[in-house]
Amino acid sequence: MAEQEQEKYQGPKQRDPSQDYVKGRKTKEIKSLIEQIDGLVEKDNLADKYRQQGGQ
Amino acid sequence: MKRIMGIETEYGISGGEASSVVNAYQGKKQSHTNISRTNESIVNGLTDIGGHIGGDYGSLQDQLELYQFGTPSVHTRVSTPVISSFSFTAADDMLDNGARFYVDMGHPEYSTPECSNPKDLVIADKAGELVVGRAAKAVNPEIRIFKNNSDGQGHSYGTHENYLMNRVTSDEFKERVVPALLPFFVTRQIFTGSGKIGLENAFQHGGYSSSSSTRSSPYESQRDDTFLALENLGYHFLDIPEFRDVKKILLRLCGEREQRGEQQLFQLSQRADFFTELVGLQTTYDRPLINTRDEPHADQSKYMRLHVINGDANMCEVADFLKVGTTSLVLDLIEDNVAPQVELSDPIKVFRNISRDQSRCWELDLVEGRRIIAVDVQRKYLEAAKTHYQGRDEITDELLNRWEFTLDQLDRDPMQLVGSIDWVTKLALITQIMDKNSLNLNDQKIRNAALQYHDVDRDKGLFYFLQGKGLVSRLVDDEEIETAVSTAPIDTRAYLRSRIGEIVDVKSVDWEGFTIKSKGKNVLVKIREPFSGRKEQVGQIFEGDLTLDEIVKVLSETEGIEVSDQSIFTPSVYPASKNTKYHRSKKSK
Repeated sequence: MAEQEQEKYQGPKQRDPSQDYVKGRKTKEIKSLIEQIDGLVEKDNLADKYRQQGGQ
Repeated sequence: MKRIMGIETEYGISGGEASSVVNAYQGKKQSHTNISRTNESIVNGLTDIGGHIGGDYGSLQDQLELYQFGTPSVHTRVSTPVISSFSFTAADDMLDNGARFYVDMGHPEYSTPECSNPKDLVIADKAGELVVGRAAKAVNPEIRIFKNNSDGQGHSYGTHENYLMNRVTSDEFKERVVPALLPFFVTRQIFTGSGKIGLENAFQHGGYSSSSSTRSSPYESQRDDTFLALENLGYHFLDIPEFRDVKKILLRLCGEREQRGEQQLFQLSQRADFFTELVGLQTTYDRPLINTRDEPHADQSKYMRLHVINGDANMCEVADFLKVGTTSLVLDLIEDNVAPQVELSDPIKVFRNISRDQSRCWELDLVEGRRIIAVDVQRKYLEAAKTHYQGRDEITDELLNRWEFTLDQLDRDPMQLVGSIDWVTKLALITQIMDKNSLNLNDQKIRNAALQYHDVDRDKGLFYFLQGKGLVSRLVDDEEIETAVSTAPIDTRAYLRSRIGEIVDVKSVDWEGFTIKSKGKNVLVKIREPFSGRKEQVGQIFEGDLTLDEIVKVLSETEGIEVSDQSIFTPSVYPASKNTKYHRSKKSK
């Protein structure tokens, strides 16, 4: 059984991750909203200042 | 689908104190009192000061010291707790909607009420965002609340799922439950992950290992193995003063690697960097893929609690639904003894490698020597669930359909899942910002955007910006979520627990029941069966003008509810004696 499955196994699809960035209808819609999104992103060092107490 | 389930989320907070936020919430019902906590349970190492079962805070002596002096720092990786600068706080409330809102490890933490199905749980989880966000705004509009699990600087905090399952022996748990859960847990991140920039805890025991599926040369493999050895060494030297110089060298080595861009990863999971054990009790260090905090808050002879700590907080309703729904289906498979057999060669390594795999092929090794992709591991569980549960009920069918659709898309083109899966949505978002500004993953603006994705503020959060533009797939509507802010589900004990204070004087309340006062005596109402106390059973007590005795009579005659006038808690593992039933008929309202 394992051998049969191994024969069927084709491995992962070889994708070019860079192509991920442009595919998809909603991705294109995000692109069309990029000016608004860009304006919403904090200009200061929000992520650098963000330091949390470790938790569970 | 019918299973008791809930989610507890430690929220990230910036610009304020967690205790202020919890104390500011106006919808609180009653201070939470853990009536299940006894001296005996602490002595036996069953309960810590946070009301949790487990050894998170070390020995009994450690726990007692902590109770006196504060909570432990989790920034250290030593096994003995160290007292940190913040103090133990009593901010801990049960809310109008049956949820619990409290402070845990410096975070505002929200535990949903008990839900009976994954869709209700999504609603309850989303209501939690509103509760925490509104409480923060009531303190100071500048406070930011993030529903995420990492600060990107080596500190993680959890979103834990809880499922009641049929009680099994410890041997059965080890031999049947753990092997069935591990492959599912390490691979489900392909649709449950919330996405994260960078690598944390390079010194984590087990070390950094780039995805084996992306290694292209013997040199890379050799280099990774060398890093692994050095970082394991670093882990052991980390807190030994005499080896400070060694630590410095190792840190510099990692810093140089970061400059070369190797830290510019986009990971699937917020949490995968923080897991080093297969099975265990800990939740704040040496985190295990399968946590054994078995505190069911119910009849322990019948139920056990599966406390899942390896998942991410989800913004996308679909991802949240899939996370809790598929896990519940896998528990069905385990309970029915029909779970698929898959044995991974190194589950902890697989968990990290899938998260870090930039090729997003997610290939992994099985014990038998062959390879498989994570999507196909998930398909094995999906096929088993379809075989046994398709057509069972509407929610099960919706889950099976969405699970299959999601796996198909992940296999073909993950980016079709923008708006449904968080890591995909976040990646699409930050990629567009990178492209517009010619930035890379490590630039401040991109890291800000990745954090702002999780902001629960509808005006500031980038996830909510996308949702407002119709780019997020909805499973529930805003009205349902708003209703869940103030009302509990009607088909679990959360209904009774959340409403009882409307008609009687409640002295204390916990998940498993509450104490009411009558003529100077405490009357303990225990709901050991979590599906008891639902509206169809006890709704009448809120509709008529009943006396307290009449209310107590209804409750005592309700299946799964025990009423006694004893004020000393009887652990639910021991059946309550029949003569403890409340039989008084004197009017006392």
